[in-house]
Amino acid sequence: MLVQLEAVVRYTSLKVNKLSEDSIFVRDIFEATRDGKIRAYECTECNNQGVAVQAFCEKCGNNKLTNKEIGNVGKVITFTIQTVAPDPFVNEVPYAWVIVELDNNVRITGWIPFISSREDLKIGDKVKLVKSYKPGMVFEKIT
Amino acid sequence: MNKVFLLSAAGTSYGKANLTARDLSMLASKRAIKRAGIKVQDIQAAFVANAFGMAEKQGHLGPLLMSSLGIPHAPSSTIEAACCSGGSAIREAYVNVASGFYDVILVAGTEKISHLDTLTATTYFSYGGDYCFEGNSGASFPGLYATMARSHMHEYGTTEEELAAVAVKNHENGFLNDKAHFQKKITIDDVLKSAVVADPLKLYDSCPFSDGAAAAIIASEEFMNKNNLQKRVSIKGSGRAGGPGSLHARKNMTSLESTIRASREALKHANINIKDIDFAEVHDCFTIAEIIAMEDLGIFEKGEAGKAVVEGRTSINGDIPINPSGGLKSKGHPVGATGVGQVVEVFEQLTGDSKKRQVEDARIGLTHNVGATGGSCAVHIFESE
Repeated sequence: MLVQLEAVVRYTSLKVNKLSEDSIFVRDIFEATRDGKIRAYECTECNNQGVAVQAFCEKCGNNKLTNKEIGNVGKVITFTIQTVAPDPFVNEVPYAWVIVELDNNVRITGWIPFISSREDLKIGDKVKLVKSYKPGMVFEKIT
Repeated sequence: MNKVFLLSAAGTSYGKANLTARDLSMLASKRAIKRAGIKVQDIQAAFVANAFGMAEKQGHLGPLLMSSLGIPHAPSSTIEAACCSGGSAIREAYVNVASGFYDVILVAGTEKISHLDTLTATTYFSYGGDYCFEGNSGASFPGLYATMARSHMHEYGTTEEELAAVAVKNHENGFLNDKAHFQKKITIDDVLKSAVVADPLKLYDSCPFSDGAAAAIIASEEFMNKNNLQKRVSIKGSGRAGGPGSLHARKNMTSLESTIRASREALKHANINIKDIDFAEVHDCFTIAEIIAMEDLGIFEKGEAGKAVVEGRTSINGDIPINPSGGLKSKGHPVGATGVGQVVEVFEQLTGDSKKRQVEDARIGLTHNVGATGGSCAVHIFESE
């Protein structure tokens, strides 16, 4: 689990309603990605979307944002193959770390286990977010 | 705004130190104060740049430094903007003196990280980006720049050999710098054959984890006049900007928005064109970062910087020397000290004190300091008087 999410869930008894203050919080995003789902903010004025911790719309400055599930399939914008990893991915190397573009130009990041060389992945490849069976946001290549 | 002078700047050697960040900042400050020819009591306030104090179980470094300088009453604050902490601290000092609030400010950047094992250091560095999205899903700090490198190669045909040429050039400069972390020359082949860290970036595309400190004294014209101090270097332009802290929140993977904004602000402030600068110290935490920096600053067209490095145009004897100090790559990257260390190099270049790496006829120098993947950027322009 995301350390920061763990800190919120385990160590506080705060009851913050989702959508309170019309903003999107860390836990709104990462509770969803754990289940292979993507939650984005959507501006109630201009319909701009993004996967981000957000209080004001980046495009128009509106402060009323909704929080909705969007499609979890997209294409790889760019990637790296990690051969030296940060904690707790040390035993997973090599693997791909990717930036993915979803529908409506919304972008998200994550990793793909078992992709071990640059020959195994191309910019433009289609990928899908899956349920977190490993740490972080886990993608899979789809055909 | 009042005219502001860089009265002096000095640093420690970069590398592995058997001193704490606190000791290192004290040493650099003492050298800068001595070089300035002022009394330590003339310092009215300080900004301390330090990013990973927790690695030494010591936050709130300012009061400790001020006490060791014998001026515990002087106010100090730690400025943290990841790898841009130093440049940001210079900016704060500039603003405070230009506004007339203070006459003399000490900026001290310092870091001690070499005692951490590679895994811990790698993990700490990943905290500078958007950890929830990046480090938490397995991206190391080099991994983030590796995605920019792949995009740049994909869009502009930049090659791994061009990236390697940046490292080779910076090591040539660092070889001439007796304070550099690495004082040895390397070849293109050495870079290409070094271990892959995050494809396409290799170990020799990456800067080291260094310890070290640097300090600068920023002073008002009134103070310079009153004390009959020789005006050698002035701060001609100051620019600061932010950019999306997360990689996925930006549309362009081959450019740092914060560099473009901060540099345009600094150039406008200095009332000069980028072609007017004689040399620059830019933020080359990875070889790709130097290429992107030169293009975003406007020194070269997009996609042209790699070729320019191969042609030798950015070497000390080239038409626009970049990182004569050796840069982060060879001189080293003691995170909080880095942005202040760039100012030390500019001070020495503009006062003709750079010995074997002296850039000929250096009159205007630029510093470019980036935090993490571009969430922060500071650009300053200095001129010899």
